[in-house]
Amino acid sequence: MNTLSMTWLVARHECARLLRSSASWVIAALFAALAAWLFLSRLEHWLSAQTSIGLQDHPPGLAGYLGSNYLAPLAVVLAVLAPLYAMRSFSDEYRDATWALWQSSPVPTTAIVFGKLMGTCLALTVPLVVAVGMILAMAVWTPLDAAVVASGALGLALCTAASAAAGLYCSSLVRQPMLAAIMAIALLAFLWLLGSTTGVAPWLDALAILSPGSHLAGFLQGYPNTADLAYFVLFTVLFAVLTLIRLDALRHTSD
Amino acid sequence: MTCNGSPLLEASDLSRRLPKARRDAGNGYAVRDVSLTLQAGDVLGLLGLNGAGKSTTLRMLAGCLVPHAGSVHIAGHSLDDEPMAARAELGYLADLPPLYDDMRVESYIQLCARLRGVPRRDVSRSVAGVIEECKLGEVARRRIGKLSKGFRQRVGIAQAIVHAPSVLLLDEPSNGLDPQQQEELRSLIKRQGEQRAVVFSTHLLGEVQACCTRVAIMHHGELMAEQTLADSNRENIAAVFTEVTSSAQRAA
Repeated sequence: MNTLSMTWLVARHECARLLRSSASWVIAALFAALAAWLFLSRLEHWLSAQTSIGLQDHPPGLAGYLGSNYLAPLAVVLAVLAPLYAMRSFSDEYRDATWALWQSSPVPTTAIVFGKLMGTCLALTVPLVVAVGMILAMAVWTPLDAAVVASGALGLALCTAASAAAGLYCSSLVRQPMLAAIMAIALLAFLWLLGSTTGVAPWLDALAILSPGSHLAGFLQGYPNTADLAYFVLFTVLFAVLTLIRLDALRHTSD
Repeated sequence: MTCNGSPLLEASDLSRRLPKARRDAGNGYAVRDVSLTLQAGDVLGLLGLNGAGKSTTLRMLAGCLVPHAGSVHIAGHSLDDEPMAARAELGYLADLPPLYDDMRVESYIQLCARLRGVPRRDVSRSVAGVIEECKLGEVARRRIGKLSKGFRQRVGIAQAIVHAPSVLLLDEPSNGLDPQQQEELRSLIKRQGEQRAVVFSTHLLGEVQACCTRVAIMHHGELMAEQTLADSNRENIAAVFTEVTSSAQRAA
């Protein structure tokens, strides 16, 4: 088997493991309830504020409005959700002594890391589909700008994958899944907060470039650019590589 | 399975220092200068007291732990230079079986077969064979988390042999088994030893006497004695073990 098919095998195993877990479905159900409440409140606001929105120079369409006002807060929620999905990836393997199976198998560490990341992202498509599906459902009643919806969905997916990669790395550091999730959420919260400090000090403005939020805005408004795309790809790859380094170090340090 | 007459398992001068915090204890090594050579048909029992370095040695042989010195070759492949080829030729059961409690026995062994490189078309045959060999037929559709200790250990052995490895490494495989299960395990190890090289660690003399062709006695991370077991000396192994460990303790 080559590395690619091994990666796919690991991804299927990881995704199936997550979907077998009742916790994943409970989290997804809570997310769906929150998304539904947020969606309906934003839709209500959109309908009641038609006059004021119409007075704007460039009034947003429904897809653009929901991108900024519905998907943006959901992206923050998904940044919390992704580490919860990823927290068991390695912590559970250490704790349940199943890591020996992977270490003694002819599976490259790259296939394990990228497979687990892919599997976690596949499982996270459930809440993603719920979030984007609510916007798409509006197509029954009103025309939607498909490009704006697609751009928002892509941004949400990239941001969620990056958060999952951070969760995966934290999971490789400790044996307790909940501790891994807390570490990842704290790290992501710090990065998100960097984007809300503009105007405080010039050096803080420069650090805002590290915030996922500042790179997500363009996607959600329907104006994606390659710099933002590169940010999320590099973010994800960085944490995957850090995980690889950590797992390699385990063969040298664990006793 | 044999590679042109060369040994299936060749470990040379394996050493692993203790972590810095524990380095003052003993000789400062978890394992020191351990060399082993096994051919097909060899069943080697690693005998030693708790903390003798048996598990660390097996972990280094399995590629789970990198030795600070020395090298391991599995079926002619270096664990350093060709890790994938070497690991494809070995089966390893750690002291705690690596089991996913939420998976069914058959699905789990299928996963292990694929991870260990069994081609997709051969997976069903391999899994069926190993389920029969380990007498897992009655629990094949059960969740692993619902199994008794004995069955869990058998599933652990099944995952280690599903790809018909050249070298089988078992870390205290009889831990927690009742006498009947221990007897079944010994028969299984003997059958496996007819086809491949087997190394297993234990602190039970009876187990070594029952199924090993060779025994290696470890103490404080060092290989103190190694001898071939024939019918003539099989019963004397207890005396040898006591003498070796006592003299090592006196020397320390």
